[in-house]
Amino acid sequence: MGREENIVEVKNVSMRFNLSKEKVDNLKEYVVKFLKRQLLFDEFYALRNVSFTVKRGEPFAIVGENGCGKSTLLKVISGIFCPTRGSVTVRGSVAPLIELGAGFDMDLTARENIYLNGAVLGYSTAFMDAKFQEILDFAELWEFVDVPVKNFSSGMVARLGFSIATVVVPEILIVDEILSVGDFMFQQKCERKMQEMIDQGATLIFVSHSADQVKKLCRKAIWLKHGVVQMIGDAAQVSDAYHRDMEAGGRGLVTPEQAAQAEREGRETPFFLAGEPLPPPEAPPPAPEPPALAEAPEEAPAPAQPPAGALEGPSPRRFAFLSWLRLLAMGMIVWDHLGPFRAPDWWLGSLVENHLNRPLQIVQSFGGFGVVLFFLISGFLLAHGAGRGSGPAMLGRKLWRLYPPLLASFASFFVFQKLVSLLTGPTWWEQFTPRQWLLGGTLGCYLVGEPDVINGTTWFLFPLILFYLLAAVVWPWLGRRPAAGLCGLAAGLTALCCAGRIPGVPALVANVAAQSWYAAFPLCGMLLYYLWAGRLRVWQFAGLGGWLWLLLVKAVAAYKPEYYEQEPYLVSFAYGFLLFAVALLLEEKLKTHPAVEWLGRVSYAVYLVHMPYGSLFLTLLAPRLGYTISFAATLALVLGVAWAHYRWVEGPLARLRKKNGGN
Amino acid sequence: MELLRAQLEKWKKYRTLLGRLVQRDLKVKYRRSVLGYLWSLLNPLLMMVVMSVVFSYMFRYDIPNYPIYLITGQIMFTFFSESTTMAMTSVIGNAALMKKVYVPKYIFPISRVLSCFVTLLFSLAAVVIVMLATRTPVTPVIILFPLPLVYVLLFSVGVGLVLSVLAVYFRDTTHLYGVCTTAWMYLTPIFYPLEVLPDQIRPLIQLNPLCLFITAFREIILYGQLPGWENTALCLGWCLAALGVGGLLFKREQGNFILHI
Repeated sequence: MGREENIVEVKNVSMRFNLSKEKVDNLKEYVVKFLKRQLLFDEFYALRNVSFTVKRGEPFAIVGENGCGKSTLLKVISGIFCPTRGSVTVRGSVAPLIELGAGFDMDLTARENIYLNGAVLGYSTAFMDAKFQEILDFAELWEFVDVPVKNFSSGMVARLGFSIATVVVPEILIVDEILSVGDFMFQQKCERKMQEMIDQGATLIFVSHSADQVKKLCRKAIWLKHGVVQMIGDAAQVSDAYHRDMEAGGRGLVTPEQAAQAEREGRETPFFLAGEPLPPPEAPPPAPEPPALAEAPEEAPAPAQPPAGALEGPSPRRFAFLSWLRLLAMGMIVWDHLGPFRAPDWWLGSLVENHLNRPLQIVQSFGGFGVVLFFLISGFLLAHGAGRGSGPAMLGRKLWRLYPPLLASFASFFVFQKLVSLLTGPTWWEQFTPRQWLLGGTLGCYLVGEPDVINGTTWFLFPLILFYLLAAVVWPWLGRRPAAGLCGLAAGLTALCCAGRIPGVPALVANVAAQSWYAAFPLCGMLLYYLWAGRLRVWQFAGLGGWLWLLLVKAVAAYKPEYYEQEPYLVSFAYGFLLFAVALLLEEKLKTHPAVEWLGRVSYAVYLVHMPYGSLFLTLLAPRLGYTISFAATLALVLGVAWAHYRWVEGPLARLRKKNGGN
Repeated sequence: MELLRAQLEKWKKYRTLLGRLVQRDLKVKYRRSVLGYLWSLLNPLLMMVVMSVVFSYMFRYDIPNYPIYLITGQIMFTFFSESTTMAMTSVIGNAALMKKVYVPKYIFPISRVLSCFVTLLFSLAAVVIVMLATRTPVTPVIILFPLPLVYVLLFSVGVGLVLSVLAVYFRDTTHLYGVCTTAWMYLTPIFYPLEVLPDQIRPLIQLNPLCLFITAFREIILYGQLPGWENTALCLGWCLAALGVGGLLFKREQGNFILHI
């Protein structure tokens, strides 16, 4: 490399700003925008897919009209801005002369400011002591050394700033149109000093409007317009091209749309090399098209890529109907647990009970219905992603999404109910022992064969994890030959259910088996996916479906006889399955909505927190406000808690995984 | 390893700046006042006199050696509220600098807290004066007096980092925080004894970090006792929690500051 190395490398850098907008017209817009996280902001790209390199010892200029992104580019290079996308590599020390006197404290004297500003640039006190006189000599401010800077003229401030910033010869000198300050003599002095630094080996990066200055000081140049590179190359030619374009009306050569397009496709924006024949100025709008169009046919086979990439990358498809189903399932479960389950005499509860649940034989006030929907969604999504990555990786991903938030929800509720106990006297949860808290929070209770008494709703995680575990085993087949994989899953599940009924089997196996039959529900969700995706024949679907139905009936009768005799649980399952199938058929028609999307996203958090927090809120509110108002208030509070849980627990955890996965 | 060395290099490079910023804060604070740094000593003394007169004659709490009781709580709390308030505006206040030069951003809140800490150290002289005046017995335990000061310093750094981030995104924080510190002051036993509180609230107040720090400080200075294990554990827990939350939040958000200030 030696002297020829690139001292600055800028690769596909984009810089996005959020322009503040003050006005939001109405409350609905506010809520929608809040949910979409665009509140008060409008995106604006100051730089679009900019790439170039600066060689060591080769003075480099950036030209372009006002607001074209020059200063932003300088700030990205000097590390003040972190680019939104892309990367910047700088090999060497940088002295930014972007705005002189930055970091001066107007109340302090020149002497104090010299030390302070030196420290801002990273110089030690001893070093500044040694250079103090030199700085003062260059700035010619001897008699003002103990005068507060606020009494200086702007020219004096600039002189002082320039002297401090140039006291060391840096490897890269970044200069942003500063030569327009100060009197003529000082301007010349600055220019001489800069030339001197360039001679001593500093690489200059220079921004200016003046073609003369650019030609005099620089060898290479880049021309920016609307944050897009127009031309790179010899300073004189680039600067001339820029001025010709300005005189011709400033249409530019490359449009932001082309740059955005190039960025999406992950390639560099086409730009013009200095000296290359330019499109004729008469017809600028169509002229820039050819380079972009010329490349498009070459990339024509690109559409073949997504399917290949789909095997590895994130799932390419979002199902709108799943958000709606999630919302519905969540509503049903919350309704059951905080409504009729807690207050059998509540008027609204009995109204729904008498007119829907009883005639339709829907058990548990929709609770079972909702859980079945959740199971089906989980299975459907798993089938959609099947074959991507490895089985253990999938299991790890799922566990990471399910388990730590569960632990966190128990921990937070423990603390919360302790606080409430302190304020209002012991709560219902005070009666439980640490062992019960521990077993409940970790799902260990199902291995020991006790129900979770604290939350009471987390039981469904156990069969779900079991299901993922089994799926991880047959993962490779699920991707390639779904029918074989599904048969394997069904066989494993059947074996487990049967094993639990063998007399004398260890308690652990019996306990696991007693919960395992629920895993047939997500399996049915997988069946639906493969049928819909055309990867399962109808007879295969019918055969597997029949098998699973038989398994469900037998397992329910064996492990939960009350679900077979008094409460027909499988009726709710049938409704759920049908509803899911109908929603899947209507998939094209269902449009998602930001609010639904959001509720779907927090649904797991709601599931975790609604029972303990909701019950606690209800016991606090109901005696004072009556049940109907308390129910509404509790719903709002639970959503708030769930949002906090999603924001502070699930979000950071997901980011943590992404970060570690990325490295 | 490489990363650690780079961090260390950076720290070395910007240590001078930290020192300079602390110096600047102190200089600007007492610029043009006749007594200068003496104010850091006089301020708590005079406040103590006013408050001990007010509370000895008006409310009559039965606390032995009330002046010391008061001044120990008061200098700790003043430090906390002053340093966090200053740290809160540090990022916004140095926007001009941040937009022009690269500087590690955590330097700003930390320098503000440290400059207040220097003031707190000056105020310790006031404590000594009051101790001499009231003939408080001095025990060997007093060597431990820096411990609670370190607690409150670490805690303030953590809270200051959090506030400085919040203030960038919600300017309302700066207005709201004044109310919060006032409420916090009344929830901290600075001029009243813990015993006057009703039974339901006392356990909560005892979890108040500032109450814990002040209790430790008083145990050491006033009662000549070692602070208990529970107190030490809780104090350290609060410090670590505040530093952890503040540090992580700040680290995560510092890249975006420039877009919001």
